[in-house]
Amino acid sequence: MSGVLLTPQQQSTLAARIRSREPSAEEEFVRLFSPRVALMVFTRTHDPEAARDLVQDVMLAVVRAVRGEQLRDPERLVGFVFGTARNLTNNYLRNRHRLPREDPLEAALHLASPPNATEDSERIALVRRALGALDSTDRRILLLTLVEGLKPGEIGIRLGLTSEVVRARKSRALKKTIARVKKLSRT
Amino acid sequence: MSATATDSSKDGMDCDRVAREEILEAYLAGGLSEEDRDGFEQHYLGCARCFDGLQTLQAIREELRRTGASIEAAPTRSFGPWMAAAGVAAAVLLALAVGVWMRQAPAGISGGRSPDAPSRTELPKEPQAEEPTTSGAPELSLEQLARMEPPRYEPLRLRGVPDEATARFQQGMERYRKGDYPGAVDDLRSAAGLEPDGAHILFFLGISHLMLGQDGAAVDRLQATIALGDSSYLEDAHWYLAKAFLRRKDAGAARTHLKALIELRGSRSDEARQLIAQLEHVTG
Repeated sequence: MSGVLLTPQQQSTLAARIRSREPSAEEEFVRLFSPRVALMVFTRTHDPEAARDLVQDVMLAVVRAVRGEQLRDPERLVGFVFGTARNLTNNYLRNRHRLPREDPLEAALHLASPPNATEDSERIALVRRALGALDSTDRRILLLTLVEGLKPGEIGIRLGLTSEVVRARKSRALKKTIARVKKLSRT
Repeated sequence: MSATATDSSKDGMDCDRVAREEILEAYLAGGLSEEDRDGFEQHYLGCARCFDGLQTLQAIREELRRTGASIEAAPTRSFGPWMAAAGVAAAVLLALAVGVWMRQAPAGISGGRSPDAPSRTELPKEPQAEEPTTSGAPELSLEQLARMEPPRYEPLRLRGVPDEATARFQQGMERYRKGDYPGAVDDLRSAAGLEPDGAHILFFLGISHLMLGQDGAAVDRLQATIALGDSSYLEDAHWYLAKAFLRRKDAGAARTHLKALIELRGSRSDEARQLIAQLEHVTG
């Protein structure tokens, strides 16, 4: 899988298409960025409802800014999306107990579509299979690390392993699981 | 900018650093500094690879959270702090014994187990280190190094009706748990016929042969388990293969599998190192 989502040139082209109000450009923009922004704002807010609204706000704010030619460097559209998402999320976190949420102004723009449920369920199914192939101790180490947030030393005490062994096994189990998910997704 | 890896150089974040510093995990756990969090978010907004990895990790976390209770309830290969202490005690005793043995001529002492070390019957699983035979001069031999206990097996709680291979496997493992290795071999052989690529089946079939002293068949089955590649039985297959070769007095083959085990850097690496060290003493 290639790492770069959009080259600077592609970012500039997409911004130009949004500026010229090309509907397919907005759709493409939302398809590319809404899942990313959704994960970002959810990670910051831990509130799925708020995250859903914030994604919509971010998408709208960026599209409006691009249309209004407020994006000074179109080749850095990704950075602009990030900055907008961070600012709006920080505003929300600062005001979450004080301000009622506003309705979106442009509901007609089918922005901030929900995450792709089909893709998510497929990924979960692959993850389930990949985790099923792990040793039970490795699964437990991942559970204690990723869900319970324990450190290797704490896990080691629980499982009777040294922290070095826990660290090595966790790292290997994660790599193995992610690689297996990738492999399964190609078959 | 590379075509295959993104670099948010302003924030010092790139794909290499994400992998090297396990940033994905730290991010989801909320363990990054504000600066790193911002840098990583800006990075993954523009990086397909890292975002895909992040989504997968998120899915792993969700799945673990969903199944957490059953994982916690499932038996593991380790048995808590007392087991770690026992392992450490055994390792210390072993180191002392080998150290003394290296310094002194064997005195022929056939002492019993240290009172601090657990007896085999107390251990639900093979000890972390091979038992030190004396407090002074161990009479190490290939036969001693080949000693083993069968790995413990706890049945999985499966939902739904199992297929025929699974049913055979479960039946075989019931017998295995009762020490009925001939019966286990029959059932596991049937299961292997139905599911030739079942690492779990081949592994326990190999162990059952090993327990019956059928070392050749055991070696075949355990090698077949390894040939299947990365499975949760890979480490144990190398370990018991090494034991099988030790029984056959093939120290070279045993060493090969112990080295392979060390390379895997798993939970048996330390045991493998200790066994290689003992093997070196025995074989000179």
